Amino acid sequence: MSETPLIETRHLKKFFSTPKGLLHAVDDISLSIFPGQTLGVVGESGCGKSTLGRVMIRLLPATGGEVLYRGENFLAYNGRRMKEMRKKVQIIFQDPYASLNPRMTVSEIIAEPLKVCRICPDKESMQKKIRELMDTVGLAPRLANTYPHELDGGRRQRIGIARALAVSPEFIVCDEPVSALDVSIQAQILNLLMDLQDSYKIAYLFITHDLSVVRHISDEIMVMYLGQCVEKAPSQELFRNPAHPYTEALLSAIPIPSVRPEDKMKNVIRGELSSPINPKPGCRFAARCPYATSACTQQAIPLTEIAPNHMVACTKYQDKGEHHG
Amino acid sequence: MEKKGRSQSGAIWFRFQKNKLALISLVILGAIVLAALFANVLIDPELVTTTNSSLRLQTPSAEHWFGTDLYGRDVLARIVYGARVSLTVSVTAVFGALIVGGLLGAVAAYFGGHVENIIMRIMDIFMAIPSLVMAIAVVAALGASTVNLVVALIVARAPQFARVVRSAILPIRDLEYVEAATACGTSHRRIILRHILPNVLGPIIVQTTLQMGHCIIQIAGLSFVGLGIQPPTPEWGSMLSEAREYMRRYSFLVVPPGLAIMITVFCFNRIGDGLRDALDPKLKN
Amino acid sequence: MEYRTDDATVYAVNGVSFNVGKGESLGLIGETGAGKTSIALSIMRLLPDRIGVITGGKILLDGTDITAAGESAMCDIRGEKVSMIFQDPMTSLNPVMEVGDQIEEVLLLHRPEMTVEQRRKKTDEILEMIGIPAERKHEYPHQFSGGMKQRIVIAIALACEPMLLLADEPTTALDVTIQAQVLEMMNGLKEKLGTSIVLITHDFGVVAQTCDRVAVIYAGEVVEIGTAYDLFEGEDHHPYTQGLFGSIPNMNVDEERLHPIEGLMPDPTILAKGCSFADRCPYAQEVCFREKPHCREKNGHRVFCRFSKYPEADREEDVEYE
Repeated sequence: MSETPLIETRHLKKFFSTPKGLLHAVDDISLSIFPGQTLGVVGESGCGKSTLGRVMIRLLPATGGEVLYRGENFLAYNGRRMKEMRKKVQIIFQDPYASLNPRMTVSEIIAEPLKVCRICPDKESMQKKIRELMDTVGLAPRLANTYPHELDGGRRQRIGIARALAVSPEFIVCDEPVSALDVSIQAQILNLLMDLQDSYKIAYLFITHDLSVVRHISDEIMVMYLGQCVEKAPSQELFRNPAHPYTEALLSAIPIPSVRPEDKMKNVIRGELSSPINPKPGCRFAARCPYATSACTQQAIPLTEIAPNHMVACTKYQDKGEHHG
Repeated sequence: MEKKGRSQSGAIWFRFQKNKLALISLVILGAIVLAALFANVLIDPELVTTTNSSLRLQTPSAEHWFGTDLYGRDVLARIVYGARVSLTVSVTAVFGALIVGGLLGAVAAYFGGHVENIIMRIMDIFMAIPSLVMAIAVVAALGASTVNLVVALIVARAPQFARVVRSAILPIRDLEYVEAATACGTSHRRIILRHILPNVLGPIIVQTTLQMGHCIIQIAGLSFVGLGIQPPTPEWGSMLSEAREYMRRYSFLVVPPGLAIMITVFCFNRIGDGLRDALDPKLKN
Repeated sequence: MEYRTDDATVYAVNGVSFNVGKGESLGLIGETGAGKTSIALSIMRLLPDRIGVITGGKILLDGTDITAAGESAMCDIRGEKVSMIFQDPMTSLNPVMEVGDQIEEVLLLHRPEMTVEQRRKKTDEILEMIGIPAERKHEYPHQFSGGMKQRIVIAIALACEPMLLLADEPTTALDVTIQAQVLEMMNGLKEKLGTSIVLITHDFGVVAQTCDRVAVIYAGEVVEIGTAYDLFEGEDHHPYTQGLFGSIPNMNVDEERLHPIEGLMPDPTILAKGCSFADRCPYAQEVCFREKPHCREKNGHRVFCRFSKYPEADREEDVEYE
């Protein structure tokens, strides 16, 4: 893949000031996504994955760093250019209840981005476009005049997807789009998202805490811990050779739906998640890490490439590969 | 889920009509509003202002149901026409306060930070002054007239609305559908007007009805002390004030305006309460 | 069990029969709206007043039917013999009470014979048991993390060493690494105290890792019940169970597409005449819509589907514990 990435972040930072100190929600994240590809972002609550997604499409202002869209840093765009940019990047939310305006009907919700971005010149073409979108995401036309509260979670999520698709984006941030849904509905939505990617070549940033989902949908996976990227690798590679102790812990913590003895839960990691307020230098996982040494907490640990495209930020591998970032 | 449930407004009405007191209040208030609207059809407007010293201070009779006042004017006629004045002034004032206060509150809540601080601290200063004193101050400064009365009431009432609207918006502001609207480049104005305000209509409606009641009392109060509606325009508060001097001998004169104020305010409050319960989704069973 | 609302009657639980042996853990698995929580609330007799009604059947606890027990009798049973923990640890604890006091309160209610000293000692023991240092008992809930709060909730539920613990999605709100810790702790406590557990969840992984037996619930009915081994490795399954398995992305196998179950849960206000899953079932035949399926059984593994390979079995049984 020698082409330029569709979207790229360079040393992206987002800090929040809290009464207790500066919260490093996103701390120096660099990533790139190519057209039609999916980058999965995994991590536990409070690791900054949702913030990352929002900063990347400028729903939140960045504290530092750049977000390049086809090579151009759009964090510097002014109002009018940004409005054009809004058509290229969209977001799908986790909560199919909070993400839809309860006072608007399904067709009004889908029409909203069309109106705001002035995509359809007249009423008729707008109606046609709404019908097309509903058809694309698998919503029956008769639902056009219902209100979201009359529909179930899966259908609501389809409305959210249709709204995001309305402006024909090239990049969509999917913020835990299936974690609020039942398994059977979850599978339907995942299939839909993958079909859409195939037909429209959309790139996804797929944020989730569910490793089995991320494995299913992603080409590449980034593991985040307290605002930092601890490991990044192609999907298969990450599951086959998890390198960072946190990734290992995360993988072994998933309860596997199988009663075979080899799938029994083992090596439960101790300790609790803290929050990255005024973090100390070094590895933020060190306090819970079974392999931690004094070297871990002395200075920032850079990402190291241990296999092609497999990057890890851990002292265990620092000497082996070349340094990045 | 295909089965179409009751529409939202239908469900609200269903819960509202379960509250019998609120329902009765609505009927009574409806009657008062209709009487005020069609006052000139029901009662000759001449009766309201024509003085007739031969008829002064008559006790209630078949001809004058509520008796006549100091100048021989029919009290019933003045009460009905007084409803017109009270209701018009309070509706104008409350809606004025709603627009001013509501928008300030919405802007404060939506933008947050310094904007919110400045607006809300100013509102706090206004709230610290009792609203009657505030209204008296404004009327005293601008002079007593109906327009100034409305202005005074708006100034006194707006902070209440600002507070209610702000606190109703705060939890909605961060919801994902607002973010979704931002994500496709919707302007702030459109987000506030189309996505946020419609979802806080419930508390706003409740607050409006409750404020109506307060407002009527305040108009009456200001008129009572001579700063509100000026005679000879009939107004409940000023009628009460006039009747007060003769209360010992002609006590029947204070009853009609007093009851009119009481019943109207009571109705507004009951309706407000009923609406609050009906609009609160948490009470849904 | 039914919910009666202004609009309609919701048939939440329809003829569910299962039993839990002493020290056994039973998983109830199903999707949102399947009636899992309603089953638990029925057992606790915590259904909302006037709206939730048990319309038939028996709940036998230690041989006695508690469906008819009075409110005061139930108060003795709750916490003492049966405890329940809820999904959200944030709202299950009183935010203005020290956690130690909250544990002591349960003891105060159900063990009035204990002295203050004994109660304090017991509280310390309980906290140590769930891996929280006893000196933290004077802290308030907000000073603990989500995982610790859920452990405290479990500690309160287990303070009187009840016979049965009803756990309603106890780990759904937690992160995976924390979930693993809580599940491990629950497994340990089950063995230590011999408490029977009914674990309600929608996660097959959680069931596989913690439960001895599993019941799959669909539309207020048990569609399949058996040991965990039967469910994951058994010869035959209910089509709904198969559908659920097809929907989970498998961690070990790479698949291009998932195979979701088409369609939606049936409307719970309409009681199905035949099999409740027939609408969504790929194997459904005309007879499935007309008649309730029979129970088919092999070595205790029961499948409520007409087309199961298992031989037919008798279906009558009460809900029973111990």
